[in-house]
Amino acid sequence: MGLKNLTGLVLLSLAVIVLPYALPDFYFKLIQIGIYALICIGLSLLLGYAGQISLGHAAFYALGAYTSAILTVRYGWSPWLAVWVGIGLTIILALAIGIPSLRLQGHYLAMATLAFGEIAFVVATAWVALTGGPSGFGHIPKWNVFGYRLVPPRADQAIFYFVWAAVILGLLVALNLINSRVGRALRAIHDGEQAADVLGIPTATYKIKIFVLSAAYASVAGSIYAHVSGYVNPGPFSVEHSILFITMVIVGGMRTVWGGVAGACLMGLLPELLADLEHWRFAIYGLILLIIMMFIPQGILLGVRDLIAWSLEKLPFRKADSPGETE
Amino acid sequence: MTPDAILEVRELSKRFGGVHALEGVECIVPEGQVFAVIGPNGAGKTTFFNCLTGVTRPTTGSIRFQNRPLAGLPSHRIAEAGIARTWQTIRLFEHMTVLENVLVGCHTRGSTGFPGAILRLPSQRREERRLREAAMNHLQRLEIAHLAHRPVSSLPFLQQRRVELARALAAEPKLLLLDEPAAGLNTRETGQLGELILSIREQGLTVLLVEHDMSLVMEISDQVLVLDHGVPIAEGPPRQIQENEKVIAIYLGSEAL
Amino acid sequence: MSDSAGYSNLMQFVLSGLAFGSIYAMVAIGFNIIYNATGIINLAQGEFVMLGGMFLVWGQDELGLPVWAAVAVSVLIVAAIGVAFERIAIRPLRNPSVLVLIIITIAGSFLFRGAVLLVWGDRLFSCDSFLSGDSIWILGAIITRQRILIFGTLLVVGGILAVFFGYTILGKAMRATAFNRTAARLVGINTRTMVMFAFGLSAAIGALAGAVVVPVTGIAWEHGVLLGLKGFAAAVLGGLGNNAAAVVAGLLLGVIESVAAGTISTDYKDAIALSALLIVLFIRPAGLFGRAELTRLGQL
Repeated sequence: MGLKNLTGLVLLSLAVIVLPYALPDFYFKLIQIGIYALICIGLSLLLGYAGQISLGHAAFYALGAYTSAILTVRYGWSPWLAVWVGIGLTIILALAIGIPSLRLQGHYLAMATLAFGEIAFVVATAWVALTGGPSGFGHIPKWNVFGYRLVPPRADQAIFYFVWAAVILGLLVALNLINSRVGRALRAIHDGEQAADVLGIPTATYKIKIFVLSAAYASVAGSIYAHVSGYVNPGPFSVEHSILFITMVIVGGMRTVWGGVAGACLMGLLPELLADLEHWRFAIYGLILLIIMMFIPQGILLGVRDLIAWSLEKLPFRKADSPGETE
Repeated sequence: MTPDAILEVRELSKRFGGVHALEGVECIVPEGQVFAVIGPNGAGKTTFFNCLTGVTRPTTGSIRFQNRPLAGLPSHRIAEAGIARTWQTIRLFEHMTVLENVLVGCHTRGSTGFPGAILRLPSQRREERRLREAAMNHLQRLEIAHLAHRPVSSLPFLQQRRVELARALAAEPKLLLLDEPAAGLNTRETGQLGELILSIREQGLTVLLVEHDMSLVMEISDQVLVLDHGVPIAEGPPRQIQENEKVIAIYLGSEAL
Repeated sequence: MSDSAGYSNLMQFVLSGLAFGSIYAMVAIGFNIIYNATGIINLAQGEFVMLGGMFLVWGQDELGLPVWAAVAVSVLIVAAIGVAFERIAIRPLRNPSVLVLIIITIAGSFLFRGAVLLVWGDRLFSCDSFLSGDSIWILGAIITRQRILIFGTLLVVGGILAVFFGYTILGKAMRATAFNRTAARLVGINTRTMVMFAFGLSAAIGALAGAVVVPVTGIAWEHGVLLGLKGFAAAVLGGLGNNAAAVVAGLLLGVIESVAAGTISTDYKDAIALSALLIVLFIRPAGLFGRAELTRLGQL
């Protein structure tokens, strides 16, 4: 996968290990952000690599969360088992949405997933017998990791490690995929679908598969969320959240999976920086999305890299042409 | 089908609404030849290529490649069958490096799928090494190996052309379709291109060539098909085409031949 | 007796469905106008509708305008917003991909929604019926005058558009642009102006729909999403780009939704309407009345 990505993973792992000791009053804020990061990694595979958009990923996030919640609370299943059922259901649903709409072009997947996301939210709110309706339900058991029950007082730290271990695993999977025949084919589809097809890439199949994979990321994130928060209601699964995820991916930079993680951190910490953001939220998300898309379409992460490269070029001690490497 | 024909086209027509882009095109391309398709602008040459590669679906007619019917198949199946092409306007994957572009060209030479890629199985890593080696060989052959890690968007036009050709060759096709490969080249570069095409033919590939540069066509082609407004008006060896009065009237008359 | 009660209930659902259907039809026309001019599906379309309702209430309450003047002011302001959106966010893009356009119009929709939330808060606004007087009995069902007005608005908008696209120079130029942009440019049509005008017209029609619906449902900052989605459903149902079909499809969608809400469940009303969208998208992507071949899609 290249030295750069390996270094990145090692550095991220070290940062995760150290953070609870370095910033004991802050690190737990990164638990929810880690969950978002997991969704964003999957979404950046779809958005940045294959060039397809989903405005309904919160629905897959919800499916994972509710499946885990219902199976563990009502039927006493192990969370380890429930997460797989969530993935299975998500795959079925993603195929049902993806196969018909990915046959069509461009806007259709966007609108189909948007409608699907809205339907999922309506069902989560209205099907009270299954989901507990608007008030949801609680007492979801904490995740049991290798016999080490994630409970207070050390719970936050354990949960933090658990969530970010999942993020790092998710990154590893995504990076492996990208740096392969499959990943190149996906990027080719983004840059020129017809040219990719003529080179023997079955574009429709690839788009469906990557859509399903990215939905599975959201589902796993949902399962983790349910056990971490111990409580689910429809609130965090609205279409607005689907668009928040898109915003995170674009802010970080959609053409690299690292951008998904960076975007989740940046956008996730935004409410921390601006107190009492509730009413400003939409306008700020919209503005950020618009500005990034118009002026820094490669996202903050690659934007900063390009800026550094540019200033190095301007400075007198110009480097010799080194072979560039992309992730 | 003639025993040594690699491609056989019968009664091929393509209509866009009321416009007849192609009408009753027929040709038999013998294996191992350079077969040129010429004609004035709007003659339907690119539409012909698009029909052969599944980019557009022919309205009527049959296309047989190595005795298998192709018409109506999706592009990626046609690619698997062994047809590769370049485009009149370059279509590289602009966010990728030169090597990555050529590696995409190798797509049909590999088999790694999602699970193999995610788990990084040993078989996947072996395949990756093999493909990289093959891709580098193609780059070397076109003398652009030193650019392997450059983003394609940073290259000048001529080198982008070469990358696109390398990408098509990397698919190791049996039939190579070149859509105006000499456009924008000077005389010396065109000469080199001609030699390259002949050396590709030496390897046993069949080349189907759409080209405006008549001296190149006449020099390297074994057979020439002339289209005018989608209709085939002449076919034969270059010398015969040059003397064909119908061809001279509609097309070559304007060129200083 | 129960039969006739069942009939009058059904009639009631159908007639109220026609009112909402008229709104969806107008939103669908808005989608079509921009789509025809640019190939863009404007995901901020629902926000134009919401803004239309908001500015109506603002005109009445803040400026003290009579209702008709408030409608006119609202339509003009929102049309200007539509034009500005095109100028600021769409036109500067060089060769935007579909993905970029989707994201830009989503950003626009969040921006409009967020701005309304900031300025007017998350309250539900309402206003009096435009026409005073009692509800009217038609075919055994009772229907308010405002709902009749909504239906009438659709008919007027549809009629004006038919004349506009059929007989005026500007309308013909817009149709030419939709049909073949390059050819339109060659015969001297300023296609950029046409695109700008399409955004303005589309926003104006959306705003009108938003204004007339306020006395029935009220209006709040978050109403744009569903109105937009259902309008899009109507546009797809009719076949993207086809205004006459969109009117039929919008009315049909309104009736289906209303009957489903009355006979199945109000909670699932929105889910049922959107499922209709998904089903049509998957089975007949060219729309109920469209040809099987998605010709325009090739241009995206």
